[in-house]
Amino acid sequence: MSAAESTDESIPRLPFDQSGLMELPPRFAELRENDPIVKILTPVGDPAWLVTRHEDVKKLISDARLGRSHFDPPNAPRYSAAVILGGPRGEYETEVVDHTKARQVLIPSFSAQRMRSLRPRIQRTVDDLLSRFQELPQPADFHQEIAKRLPVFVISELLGIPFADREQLGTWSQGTFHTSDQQVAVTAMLEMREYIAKFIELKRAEPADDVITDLVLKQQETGFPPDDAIQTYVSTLIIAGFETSVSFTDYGTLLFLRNPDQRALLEADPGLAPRAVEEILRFAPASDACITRYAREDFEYKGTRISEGDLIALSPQTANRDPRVFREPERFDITRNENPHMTLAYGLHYCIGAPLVRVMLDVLYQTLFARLPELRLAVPLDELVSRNNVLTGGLTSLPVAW
Amino acid sequence: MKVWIDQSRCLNSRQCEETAPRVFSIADDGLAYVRQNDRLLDQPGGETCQANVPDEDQDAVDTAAYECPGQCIHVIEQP
Repeated sequence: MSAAESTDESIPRLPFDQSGLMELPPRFAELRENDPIVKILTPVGDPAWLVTRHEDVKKLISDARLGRSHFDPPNAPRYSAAVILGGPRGEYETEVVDHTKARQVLIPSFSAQRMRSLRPRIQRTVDDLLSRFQELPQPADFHQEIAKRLPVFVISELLGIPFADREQLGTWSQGTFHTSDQQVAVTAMLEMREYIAKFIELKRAEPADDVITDLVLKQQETGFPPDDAIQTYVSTLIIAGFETSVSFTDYGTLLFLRNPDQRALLEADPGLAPRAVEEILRFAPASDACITRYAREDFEYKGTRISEGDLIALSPQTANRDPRVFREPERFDITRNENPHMTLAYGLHYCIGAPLVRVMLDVLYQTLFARLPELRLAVPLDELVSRNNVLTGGLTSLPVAW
Repeated sequence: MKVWIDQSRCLNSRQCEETAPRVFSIADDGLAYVRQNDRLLDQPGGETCQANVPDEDQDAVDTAAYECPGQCIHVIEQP
């Protein structure tokens, strides 16, 4: 039991105790059923409203009365010590306009059409990674060799960053998520921005087929976005994309290794891969982390009075297992026809990287078991450890044999 | 009311299909298309394919357009 709970029994404090690596802490489901909008304390002890039902997460995740910024950032309640997702982001006065402009300019570079044209390059990356993997002595670490590399490679390819720098970007990205050491995160962020600044210059001189070039050309055409905005967009894309995708790749593979019936279905019909990807996104306990918002005004929601500046923590993972929306929600079922999970958010806040993560996981799971039909876990499940100091969760290692 | 989709900005969220299933569909290529009289207007899709929206679907289409993550649903109000 945490310190806050022992002093005040009535207010639950995050993180909740986890019963197993593959499970969401049971306290989340209890609250969803009995107390769907409840005052809690965040992992750093600040008050917040925890929202757990699908209907409410969907409604509030893109509600115009909520935002990411705060009128008094230094004194705003924080979710964690992490620089990026731990507290308020952006300018309070201009947040809505800034967000709209950012999406307006970025969406064509991330659209489903654009991602489809990237598919052959993603397939080549997956093939190369698996070929190298097959040559390693067994058991080998899927987390280190595949899950940590594939998303970094794919996102770097899209952004237009040379091969040699990708590992460094992965390290910075992981650094910014550090929740236990603030200085690690701040330094990682500054170094990454500096790196991107140099790259903007480079793309200006030598345009290529990538996102940074798209933004530089847009700037030359329309005067927007300025360099510092490009730095913010690109670093945010790297941070939001890298670590979350590493977790999905780890857990997606683990889910198939732990559910042989579902793996057999996929092997018999690779056409199920797109549905399997949605189910991985729904089910993977990538982390118990919440999506955070701040109220921009006083309002009442379903009988709860919320005040301007209040922190609201939306739990997509708990919403994704809401029995009001999903039949047999605790079952990993790759044949689900409708899968309106909240993992990629909703509405005007929907994840801009969604088409990218879909193509990446689709290629991986159409290829993985065809190339390594004997792939299996090389250690007992209880020896796997989740990455607790990284906000997005994931595993520290995933030893496999084949 | 008429509606069309700018597919160069579609993020494949499937939200439009969930919100107004009689007017929008995601095809096998992962992109959103408009429907008319139960038929997918996919030749070629985009601005040249505008579907008439039945009165009873107009509110759902307005919601889908407002919530669209790619902001790529274009509604044409007719007098």
